[in-house]
Amino acid sequence: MKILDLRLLRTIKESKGQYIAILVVLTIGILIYTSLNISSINLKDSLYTYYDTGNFADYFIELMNTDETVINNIMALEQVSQANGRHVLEAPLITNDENERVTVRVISLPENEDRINNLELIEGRLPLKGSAEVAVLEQLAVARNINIGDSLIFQAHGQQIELAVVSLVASPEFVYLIESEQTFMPNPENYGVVYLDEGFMSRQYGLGSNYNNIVLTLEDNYKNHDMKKLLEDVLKYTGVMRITERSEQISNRMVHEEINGLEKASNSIPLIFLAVAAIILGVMLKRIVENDRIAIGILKSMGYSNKEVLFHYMKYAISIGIIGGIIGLIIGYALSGMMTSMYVDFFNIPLLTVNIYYEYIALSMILSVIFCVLAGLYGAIKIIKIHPAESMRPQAPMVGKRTILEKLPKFWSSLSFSWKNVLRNILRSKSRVIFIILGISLTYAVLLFSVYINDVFDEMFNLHFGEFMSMEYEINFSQPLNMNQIDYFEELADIDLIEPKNEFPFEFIKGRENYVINIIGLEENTNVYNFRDLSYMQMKVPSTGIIVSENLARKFDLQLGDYIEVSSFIPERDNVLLEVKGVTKQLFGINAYMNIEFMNEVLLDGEMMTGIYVNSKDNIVSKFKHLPVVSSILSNQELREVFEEFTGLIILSIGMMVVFGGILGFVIIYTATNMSISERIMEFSSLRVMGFRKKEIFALIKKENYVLTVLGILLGIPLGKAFIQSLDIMFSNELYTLSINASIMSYILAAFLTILFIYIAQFATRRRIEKLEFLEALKNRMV
Amino acid sequence: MSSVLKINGLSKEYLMGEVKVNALRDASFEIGSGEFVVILGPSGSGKSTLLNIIGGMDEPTSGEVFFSGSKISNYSQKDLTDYRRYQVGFVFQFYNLMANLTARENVELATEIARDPLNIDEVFTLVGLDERKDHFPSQLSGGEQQRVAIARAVCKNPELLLCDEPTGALDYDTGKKILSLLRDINSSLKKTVLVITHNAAIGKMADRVIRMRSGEIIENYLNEKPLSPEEIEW
Repeated sequence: MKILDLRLLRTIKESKGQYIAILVVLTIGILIYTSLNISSINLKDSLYTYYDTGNFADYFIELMNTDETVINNIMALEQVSQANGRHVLEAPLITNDENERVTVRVISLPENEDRINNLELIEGRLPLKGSAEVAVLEQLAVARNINIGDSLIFQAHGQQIELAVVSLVASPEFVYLIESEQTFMPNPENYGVVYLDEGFMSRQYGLGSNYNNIVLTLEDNYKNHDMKKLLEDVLKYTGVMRITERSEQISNRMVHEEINGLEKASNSIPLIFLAVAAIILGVMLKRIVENDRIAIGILKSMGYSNKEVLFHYMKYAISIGIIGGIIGLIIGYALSGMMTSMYVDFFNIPLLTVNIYYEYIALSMILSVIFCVLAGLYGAIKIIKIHPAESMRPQAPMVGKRTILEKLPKFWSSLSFSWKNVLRNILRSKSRVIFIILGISLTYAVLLFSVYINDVFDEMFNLHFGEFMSMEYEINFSQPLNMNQIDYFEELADIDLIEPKNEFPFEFIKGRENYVINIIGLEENTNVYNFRDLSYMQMKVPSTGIIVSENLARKFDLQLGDYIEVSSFIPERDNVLLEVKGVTKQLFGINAYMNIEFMNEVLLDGEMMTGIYVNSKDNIVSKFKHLPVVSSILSNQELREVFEEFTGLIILSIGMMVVFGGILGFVIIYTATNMSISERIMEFSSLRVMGFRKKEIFALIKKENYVLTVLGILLGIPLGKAFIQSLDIMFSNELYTLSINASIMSYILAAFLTILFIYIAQFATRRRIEKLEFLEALKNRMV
Repeated sequence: MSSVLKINGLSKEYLMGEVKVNALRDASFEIGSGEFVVILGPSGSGKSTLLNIIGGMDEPTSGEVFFSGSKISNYSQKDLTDYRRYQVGFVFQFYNLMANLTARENVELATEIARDPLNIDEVFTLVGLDERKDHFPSQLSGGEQQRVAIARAVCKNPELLLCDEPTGALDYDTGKKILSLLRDINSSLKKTVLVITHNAAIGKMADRVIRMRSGEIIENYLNEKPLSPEEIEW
């Protein structure tokens, strides 16, 4: 080994605490970068492989009813590769618990082998032709402990049927299984999917080939072709309710939201860590170079070139880049494997694809080394300017100027010696102070962000299902009923409040943009929805026009008074222009709201309702679930419980973020305090000679850190707010809007955590003062 | 005796704040190969500036410096680095050893980049530190550290050994031992040794004495009978 390299190794050993600290931050950056990127690629690969093998549909069509001729017309389109008609209905599953409601979506299995959204057999065999057998989606089976050989009873079209479970299956269509866009969270115990043989199902319910659902795949060269218009033409007289392309299909979208989230996070969070590591490294190297001025002069006087000396110090940084890169890659890869298997489990993808991506290995290493090289150059570039002859002369003492506080004699004279020393030191070493304050503010911001994330979903849920929607039950009918039938339901139980609702998908059109949105019709004086405009002012349902959710307004760039074109699914009905009368805050889902009477008048026929909202202390589930007309009952309470389970899952990632944020704070304070002690070793030694105790010297450092901590936290508040806002901008989408302010408790908790991590870091530097050999320091002339 | 170093009309000016300082004014002299030269002068007389220019660590404002016939005052930075690497060895007043390298490693640091280095063990024998090679500087006395510094400068096998107040930080006895060592190196290894000092007594052991004052050379003479270091006193 070259002697210079040996010297470098010993230098690293002497400052191993700081070296490891920077290494840890850099490693975290690289491991987050690697694990998130690789996880998202693995997840994408697993998903697409599954979609390919499962022949996942490119289009999903919901309609009133259709027959084989229409299916054949669709098949005749040159862009279409395959089309399947399906019977789909929602029905309550009969369980032993009277108070429990379980809704299943019943889907018919076409008889041909080559099915779209083909089922992956987890266990058992598919239902035989014409037999009363059922294949159960794995999520439902696992959640309810349904096994092959069990029998299921459910009720549809006024009749109860009993079916034998013959298989557990997975489907590319229900990778993420949720009841509707509004429910947001999977709740497999109360909502699932079962598959029946098509022949059996159509005979049982007298459906014939009147399909209400079509799925189709496109030819490879038309995969990204927009087929909506074409399909609408073919399906003109069939009462098309919704044409959903694959990218909008709810399960597929939820997975893609997660993939997008991973990608966005993998491109932003690691940058914070890499930048912090690079800044600390740069600053630290700069200090090392300044302290090594004479050694650098000696090396140059011996005939070492600028390049050789520069590279000697750069190796300090590059070694961190390489070691951090390798460790980060290894842990990141291991973590990505764990994350991917967690994801495929969570999303019910039966195939797990884990590959080694050499380009990411290279990219991570390049990223790691580039950050360190830049930091190294920043820190060490001054070496070139060090003149060997000048470097041997002792440096002129720093120019001691009066600080601004000293110009306030009354204030200044009221301070103790130690406070004078602390404040003077803060005001004189500006760059170090700025570095620490920025570091603490970043730590605070990361911690606030983590604490906020922990709160936000909880808060969002409370707001959405407590304030925005306050109904206790939402009961949906299997077919629309006349509004005057509401009295019938009112008498079925002891009901505090009952309101009719209409919910149908409509296509919204503005210019070239179009999107299918559920419009919900409500009573003008509804008590179950609490609309608030963007300035949180209460709004009523207008007698005409429409209220749109904030994300819908954003999607179509809608302002109050604008008109939006709405296309009805009812055959031969003209499109309607509706005036935007309000934009409402809505945290989950994307919707529009109308007065139910106005909706019936302009978009539907007669006095229809598709469901009711109910508030009641009575046992609504047991009293309503047997009604033939009821297809599903959603309870607000149940949604909350599901949500609480889900938040349990995210605690782990929040915990990791807090630890990472804490490491940032620790490293910043630890390295900065160490640097400060190194620089002030003469000063501290002189104080020791004068009789100061080690404790008193350490108190000076502590006081300085306390002042900087307060300033850092104050600056961290707006920075944390900016982080939270960027979360809203980056992650809000049509499914949820993350626009919640952090609570006061979040701010306080983040401050407490910041102080805790700083205290730990400070404690770790105490040893330096304990070990201070002040006499040695005062007489030393070694380099 | 052939000339190894020739200085011709050498001047150096620099700015200290707003004040122009003439550190060196029109200095000219010549040194023969293998000479033991002592440059004498009080602080601020320009001797360190002269040494730095001769050693290729600083550049003159005007004038010429020739080393073995080559004009080093025209050298590029790269050439100056090579010149320091192959032709010159420095010994400083405060030894300036690398604290985290042993005595031997400090010397190896220099030999690693030398073209034709001397045998390290032989040089350690020469400087009398056979038993202390593996000690770190903090485990050595001032005199021992200076011996390591001399070994570091000599081991590269340079033509010219430049010593800046080599005894300045040492006590009387140790200082004399260091001077003996430098004299030994000069005679046994045939190296040209240039010592700058404010201690006039050291001039008595030199082959050539150059006296400086206020940046000017006021005297340059050959000693007819140089004394041995043991004979001189201060």
